[in-house]
Amino acid sequence: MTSFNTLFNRMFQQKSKTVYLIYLIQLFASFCLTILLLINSNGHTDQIVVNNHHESVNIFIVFMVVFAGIMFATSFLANFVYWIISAVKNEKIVRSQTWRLIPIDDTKFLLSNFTSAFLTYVWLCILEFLTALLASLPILCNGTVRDSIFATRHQLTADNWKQLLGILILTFLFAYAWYSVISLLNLSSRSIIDFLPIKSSKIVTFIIRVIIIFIILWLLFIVTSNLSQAIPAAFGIQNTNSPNDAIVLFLAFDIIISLIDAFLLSKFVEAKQN
Amino acid sequence: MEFKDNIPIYLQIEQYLYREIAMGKLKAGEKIPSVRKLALELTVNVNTVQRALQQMNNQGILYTKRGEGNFVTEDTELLAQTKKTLIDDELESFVQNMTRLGLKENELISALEDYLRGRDK
Amino acid sequence: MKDILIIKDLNYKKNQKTILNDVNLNLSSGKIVALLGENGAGKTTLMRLIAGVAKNYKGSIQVDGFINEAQRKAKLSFTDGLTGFSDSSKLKEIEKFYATIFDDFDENEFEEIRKFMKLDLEMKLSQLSRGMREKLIIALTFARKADLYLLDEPFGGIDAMARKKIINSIILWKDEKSTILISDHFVNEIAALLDEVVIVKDNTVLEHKSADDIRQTHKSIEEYYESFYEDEDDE
Repeated sequence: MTSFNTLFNRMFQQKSKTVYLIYLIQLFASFCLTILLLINSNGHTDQIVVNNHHESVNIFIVFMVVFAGIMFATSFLANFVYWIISAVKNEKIVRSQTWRLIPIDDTKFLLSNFTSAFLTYVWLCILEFLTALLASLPILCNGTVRDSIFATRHQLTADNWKQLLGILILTFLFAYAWYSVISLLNLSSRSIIDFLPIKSSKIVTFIIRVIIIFIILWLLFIVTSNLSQAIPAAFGIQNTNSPNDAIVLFLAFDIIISLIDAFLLSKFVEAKQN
Repeated sequence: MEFKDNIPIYLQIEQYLYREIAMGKLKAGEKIPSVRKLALELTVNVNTVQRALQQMNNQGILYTKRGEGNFVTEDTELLAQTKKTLIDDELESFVQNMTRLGLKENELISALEDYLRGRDK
Repeated sequence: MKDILIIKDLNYKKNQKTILNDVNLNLSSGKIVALLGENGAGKTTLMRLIAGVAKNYKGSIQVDGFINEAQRKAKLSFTDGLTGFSDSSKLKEIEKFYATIFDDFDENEFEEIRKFMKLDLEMKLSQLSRGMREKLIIALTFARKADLYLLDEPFGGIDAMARKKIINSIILWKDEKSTILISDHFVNEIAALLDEVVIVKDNTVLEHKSADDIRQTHKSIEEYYESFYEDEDDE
């Protein structure tokens, strides 16, 4: 039997290839954008504003800090692209005979697939963060900048950290929900297509997928309407509900969807014939 | 080596090995190739070779030394007898074919002599 | 001899169409068995069901006593079309995948078979010819120390030399106790290799006979196989 760790490592390695590709494209694009931006900024490139002070800095430091900013900005797009690609990859793995022949319990297989996709996503975020951090190191040499950052850090209270932790957990649960819902879409439509007395064709697949998307959206609507009170609480907007409610609800949602996924996978969903 | 597919392969392997022994390619007391080697040489299943060798062991033409493999018997009488059986089999089919062509049994020897004399020229 | 594969009352439908009906089959260990039948007779489906990648069947399938699919997968090695890899994957990457995923994968044995098959680890999947790809699949399948090997049409569309290599590798690397089930719709090329023959027709296993028993009646395996289709030719 193959252990969860072995399978997870393999999946992580396979998926991290996509991460590196996206990261390199993002790096290159940010680099080009930074150059374009600096060329078009008509010479005001040697000054920055910190707390209303104009500070003179050298062009290299400015380049790096602008680059860091653009890295941060493009990460939203890059991450979005990764979520789409990784979800498609996940579903390919689930239906691939090569992967499905691996001697492991279907539930573990599914969990490994979701978590490896999510952790490669975290890996992408870490790469982006480190790059932005490295690029902003030179500007930290400037005393004024450093002071202003330390000033904000001291303002953070224990509650802020708690909130941050809550948000992190919610992000994790949300990412997991994304992958499990996409799997639910794929697995349930596959089960239905194999059951129907008609040969699967592109049209049939499309119609069934659309119907299932609507059902899932409707279910999501019910769940989120319940969550709508809890989520703002998690971000501290409303203090009537504790952020834990959102986490508990999301966790329950993830577990239920995963159980359905695992059931469909072990009972109905076959590997594609090759 | 090509096998006829309508006769059990193990019987054909036996025949093949009998011939090898009769022709002196495998000598008395000599170790015969390993089962796997034979299987590869003849492109047959290892199980089939084993079955053939088992039968030959039972007939006494081969004997097994534990951990070493199969050897051709050193019993010269049995070897001679085996060779004679092979020759008899060939002659029997020769005789049958000739009688089918209309030759009488007493004409066989002169026909064969004529043929051999003509071929040697 | 103990049975490595026991299939009881297997029924399988897809899209409400019966693919396999009431299949019963026992294979004992150490045998080389041909699974013969026309294209579309259900040979591949039967293998996929045994391997646990086709689902939702009725009846039971046991491999070395295990009914659970994951445990069954650990006991058998199934020729896979390698569709899980991108065409740009190098052979050494594919080997790495197998070596880490399957704990019964023997890297030394893979190396031996690979050399025998003359496969270059630096090559990419897309550079392989049909025959080379089939050889790679066989090498990967046999490098695992499994109890049951399922070879799904390993000779499809390859030349005589590649076929010979594959047959030789079966003879060379088959463990004494392991059982091999080879599916084919053409029997001549492997006839001499077989211990037993299983005929799949009319959505079921019609007959299961030993090769020697067939030959004992002075029929070749091919004639025996063709006899199941004679009536249809008359129509």
